[in-house]
Amino acid sequence: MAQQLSDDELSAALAGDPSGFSAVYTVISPAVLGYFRARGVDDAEALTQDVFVDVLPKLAGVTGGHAGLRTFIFSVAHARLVDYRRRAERTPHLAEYDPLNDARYSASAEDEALGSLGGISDTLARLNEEQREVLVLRIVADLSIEQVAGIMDKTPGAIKQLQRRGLSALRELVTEKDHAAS
Amino acid sequence: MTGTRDPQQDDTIQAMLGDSGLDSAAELRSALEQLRAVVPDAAPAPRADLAALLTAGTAGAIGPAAPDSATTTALPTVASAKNDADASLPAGVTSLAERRGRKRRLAIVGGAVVGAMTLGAGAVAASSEDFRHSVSHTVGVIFQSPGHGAPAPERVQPSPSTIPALPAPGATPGSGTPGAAGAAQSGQSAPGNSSAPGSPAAGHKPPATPPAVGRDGILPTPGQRPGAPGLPASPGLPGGDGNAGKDLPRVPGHITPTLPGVVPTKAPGQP
Repeated sequence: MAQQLSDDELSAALAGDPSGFSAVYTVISPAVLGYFRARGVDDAEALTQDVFVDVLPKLAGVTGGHAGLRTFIFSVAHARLVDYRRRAERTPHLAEYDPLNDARYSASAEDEALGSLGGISDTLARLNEEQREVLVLRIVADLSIEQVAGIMDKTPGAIKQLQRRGLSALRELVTEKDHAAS
Repeated sequence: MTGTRDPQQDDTIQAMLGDSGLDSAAELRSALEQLRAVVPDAAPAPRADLAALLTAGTAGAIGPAAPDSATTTALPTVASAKNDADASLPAGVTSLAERRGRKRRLAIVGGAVVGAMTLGAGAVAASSEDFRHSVSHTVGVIFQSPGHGAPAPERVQPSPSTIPALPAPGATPGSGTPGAAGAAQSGQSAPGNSSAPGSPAAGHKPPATPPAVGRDGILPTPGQRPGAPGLPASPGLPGGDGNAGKDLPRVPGHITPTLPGVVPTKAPGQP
């Protein structure tokens, strides 16, 4: 996030010149990876690389400078996430046996204490699907309300409303957890 | 919670909280910062195909033409051939959706039309008897007129011809006469063309038909068979045609002369 794309690299990438691809990848791929992780994708890195394999050859047609590039990449990422969710609905979930996931054992006090510290994804998972998407796109992908509206195919007003509701719901969840932990 | 590690991030979060009227929610701010921390510092190591794309990009500074085809060498060639038709599709992909959809739509519409017409006709037929009669009548006319045309001449002409044929064999000299007649005809027709098919045909018909008819006394059915060849009887045919025409004309030639003499005798006997 700290890294920014220089104008030369940006113009090279947007002109379809492959010399800018590497810069685009190093600057934006962490945000895409974080987006997939925050949404609970199990193989976030693979999906991130899928997105860039898809996106890089098509950069030539992108307009709008930095914001346009970011919007384009996260539009593709959003579509890939939707694809992933649909595919995951149809395929059975396979997992190796993990004693920590065995519901027949109760968690230890240490596990509970540790779990309550982190786990923002768990808290997010209890939000509404659209509210979660808006919050992740706004914070992790660092997009403006208009950009999020374009990606989710909604009006900016609707995105603002979703954001407000998502934030207040998240606040309730967080305070509730704090009370439970203390 | 006032830590400002990255002022730009905090600006975004601050703006979001301000939009929603939640500026004072410290826990919420920490939760959002936690969420932001999900973003890793470094880009993940690229996969093989992605690495090829990226290195092609760095190499592309030298030769800009190479990089595009570096990852997929096969597809662009295929694409260049097929993309003329539809440029919107990805490389090497031809859309079958249109064709499939059109064919299926045609079949469905056709089936619906036929089904609707069948239902309608069935309903009308069930409701009115006049319609049923008229339909059966028209269907009968349609199917009989071509079929009727052929048998009709058979019956008209041969019926007299068959009748004469019977008495001639029935009189026992008939067996000789038809043979002689057949021989005479074969002789006549033979000069025209092939004698091989002609001779058996001539031999069969005269002897076979007269006895069969004579015993059973059923004139029409057996009589019509020899009569059928009699149809083409018009003498004009044999001259023009080849082999097929030859067999037919013989019978008529033999039958027609016998007709007039026999008709009166047989007709009274039969009924």
